[in-house]
Amino acid sequence: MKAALRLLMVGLVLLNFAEIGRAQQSEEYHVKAAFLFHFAQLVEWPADALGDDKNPITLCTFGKDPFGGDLDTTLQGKSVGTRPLRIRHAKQIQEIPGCQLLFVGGNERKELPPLLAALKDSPVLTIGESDEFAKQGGMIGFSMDNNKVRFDINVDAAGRAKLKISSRLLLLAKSVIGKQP
Amino acid sequence: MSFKQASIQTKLTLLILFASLFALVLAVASFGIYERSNFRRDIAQELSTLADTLGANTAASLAFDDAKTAADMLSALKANPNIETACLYNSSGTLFASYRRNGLTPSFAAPALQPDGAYFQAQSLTLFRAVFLNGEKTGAIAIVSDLNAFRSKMIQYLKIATMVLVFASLITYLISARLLRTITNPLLQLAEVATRISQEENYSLRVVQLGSDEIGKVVASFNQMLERVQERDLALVGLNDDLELRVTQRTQAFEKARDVAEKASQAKSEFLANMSHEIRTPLNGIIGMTELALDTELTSEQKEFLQTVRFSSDALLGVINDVLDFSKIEAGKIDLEDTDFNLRDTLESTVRSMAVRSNEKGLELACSIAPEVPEFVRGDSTRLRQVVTNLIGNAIKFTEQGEVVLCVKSPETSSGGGDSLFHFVVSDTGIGIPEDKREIIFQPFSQADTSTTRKYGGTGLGLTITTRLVQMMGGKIWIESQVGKGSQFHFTLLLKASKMTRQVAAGPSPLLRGVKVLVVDDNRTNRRILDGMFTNWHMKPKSVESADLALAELADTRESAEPYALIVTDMHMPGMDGFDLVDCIRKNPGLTNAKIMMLTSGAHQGDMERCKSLAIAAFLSKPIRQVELRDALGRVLAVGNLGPATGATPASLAPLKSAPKGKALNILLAEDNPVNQKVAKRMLEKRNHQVIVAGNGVQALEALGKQAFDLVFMDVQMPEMDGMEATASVRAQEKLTGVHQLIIALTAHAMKGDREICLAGGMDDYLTKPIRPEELDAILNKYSATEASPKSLAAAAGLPSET
Repeated sequence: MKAALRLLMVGLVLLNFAEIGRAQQSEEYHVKAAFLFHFAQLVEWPADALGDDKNPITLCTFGKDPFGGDLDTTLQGKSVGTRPLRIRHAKQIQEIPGCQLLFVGGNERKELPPLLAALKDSPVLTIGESDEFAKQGGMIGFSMDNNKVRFDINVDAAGRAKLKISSRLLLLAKSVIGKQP
Repeated sequence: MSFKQASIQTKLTLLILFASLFALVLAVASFGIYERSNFRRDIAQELSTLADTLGANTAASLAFDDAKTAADMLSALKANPNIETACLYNSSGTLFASYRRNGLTPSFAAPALQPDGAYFQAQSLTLFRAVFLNGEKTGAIAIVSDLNAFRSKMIQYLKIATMVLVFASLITYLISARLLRTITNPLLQLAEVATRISQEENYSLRVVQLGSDEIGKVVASFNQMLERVQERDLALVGLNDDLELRVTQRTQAFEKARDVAEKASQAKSEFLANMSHEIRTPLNGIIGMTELALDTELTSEQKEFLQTVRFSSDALLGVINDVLDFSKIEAGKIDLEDTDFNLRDTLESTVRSMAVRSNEKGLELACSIAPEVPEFVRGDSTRLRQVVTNLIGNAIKFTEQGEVVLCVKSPETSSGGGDSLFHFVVSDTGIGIPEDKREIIFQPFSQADTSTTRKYGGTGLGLTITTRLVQMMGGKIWIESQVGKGSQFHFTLLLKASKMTRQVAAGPSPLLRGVKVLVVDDNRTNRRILDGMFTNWHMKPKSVESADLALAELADTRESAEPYALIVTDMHMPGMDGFDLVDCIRKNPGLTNAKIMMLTSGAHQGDMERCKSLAIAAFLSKPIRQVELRDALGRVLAVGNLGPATGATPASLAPLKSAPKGKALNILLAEDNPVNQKVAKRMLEKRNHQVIVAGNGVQALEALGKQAFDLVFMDVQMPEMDGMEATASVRAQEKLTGVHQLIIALTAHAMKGDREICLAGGMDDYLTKPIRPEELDAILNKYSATEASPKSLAAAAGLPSET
């Protein structure tokens, strides 16, 4: 019972927090959505990964979509350079091919290692939501700092995947893992 | 100095300097403007590049909302000190990040967001630029830069421009000065040469021509002009030289001719002098001896012959004298004397001396002198005498019947009071001179009618001489004449006033005042003259022209309260003559008690006896001298009421011909020529004078040392010691003794102012040889009239008393 109560309590608190957090979270993901778009702008994919200039760039979410549809509305109709931006929500690893950017929500922590292993060296910019994401082999990991959205970058991972991350982006990263080019 | 007065060099230099400066300033200014716009463009460009770079760099920061990184990036602008401020705006236009230059206040108002572009303010430039991230606008950036760089650049630029200006001006000045010298130097040279030419009048100078530009052309023209001037100058000089040469030649020729002429003239004069001397000496013998011979017992035939000889030799002498006078006048060798003399006396005696000739022709000769004419004047009495003699002589010569009258009118005294112009008229009743001949007769050697020469004789020189003499004495001569009726020779003379006021004849005797006098004369002129004289003496004259009228007048007035006290009658009258008249009066004793004076033109033997028998109070010869008449009147009236029978010896019976007058004189004659000695001695002895003869000056002085003489006749030319020397010696001795020896010069030299020389040499008077009886008598009368005391003699000579 006690545990139940505690759970309830926690649940209540969480609920409260959730209410506050929901507003915060909404703002946070709004920013992250914009960030994702900018990442697409500041990363260069190998030519064979994208093909034709007119070929779209596809931004995929993996697993549960924390944006709650916000991503689609925010980035609807946007394009990166000459390429239109497409949004896709992948639920499984099998759905990942065809994605140039892959956002892995914080809830998918468990799925992370196999995912990363599966994506190993393929030209997909992986973006995660944990502090450890970049250390674990992801390329860009969001973090919150003073209620501001920041990110870390693993240059080695990106390099292995033949992605060039713009120095301007590197300049803005909270920390950069790996040797600088 | 104003720009107009500056030299051409200065003007041109200033002009060039100004022009180049203007161009330089213009260039600098346009470059400045160009630089400014360039700078603006550049700085805008620079800023926009900077903004682009920053925008690119900060685009991500904006995208990722990373203001810190953005600010970091903006702070990189501090490398550029001109950037004051930079602002980064997000896409909604709010300030996202900013940069502020050190030293500026941190707080500031961010510039309001503007569309892209460069916005210049006074002190700054603001550049706006949109920021894109991969074509996506993520915001905007504004950069504000001050314009200090521009300003300092401009200042630098101005400094350089100023330096360039100064340097360029200097170079321009130097170059233009150098260049201008090529223009001004020829001009200056031209001016210098022109100045030198005008100063030195040296037309041989030339200007060096340095080029063929306009100045070169001017120089060439100038040189050409000089060439012309020089040529003309040379031509002129040549002409001048030629002219001078010709003038010199002519002058020399003239001088030569003049010398020749002068020598000829001198030779002529000498010849004349010698001739005159050589002719006169024998002529003297002829005249003298003839004179003496005439006084001897002769048959009437012999007498006639001798008289013809005398007449001929007189005529010859006259001719010689005329010719001599004429040549003297022509040679200008006549010097006028300037001495005091008695004008009235001189004129009257001159006229009187002509009486013989007029009497011979039966002419009336009269002298009428206006009472206003002063007695004494200053001038040349000898020349006056010559003129009057000549004119009267002519008048007598050309008058067959009637009268010859000398009339002297009252003189016009000039305002200065010194000189008076005397007007003389010699009128006659002769043949007259036709109008067309009146000019000719004054020419030498001409007479009115050549045929008359034969009839009347004469050289024709007389009037010429007279004319010249009158002109020399400041007067002129002219004629009025009517053919057949007579001529009037007028002449004027300038005579000075004399200081001598001894007017013997001035005061009329009180005896004469109011005396009633009857003048009987057939000659109107004579009547007028006598009337004038009597009136002048305050007498009451009445004149009638014939004896009949005189008798009638006497008859008319004998019962009146105031009968005539005096009758003056002419002797020669037509019909009843003077003696007949007196006869008639004496036969009618009741007719009048008046004293009677007789006037006659020529005294004849027996006249005196007749006068005495008729109890005529005085017997005067015409022409009447005023003094004589007055003296005679005085004597006659003073005698009182003497009866006719008492008949006092006529006071002034004219001396009969050649009768010696005055007392016998003791005379020394110094003369070397035996003929002349003889002639003179005999002439003097004939006049009852004792004569001692000396052969030369030495003998004369010896004789003078032995005894005293009343008079010395001294020949001028003598051997051993001449007359001048002897006279000088006498005068030298007299300075010690104080006695004055009268010495009369005798000379055959009628030349070269002999008279003047003689008088200057101490002589008292002067006689020309051949000695003519009339002249000798005149001299003797003059000096023997009174006792020969030196003072009275001097007075008689008309000389001022020495005391």
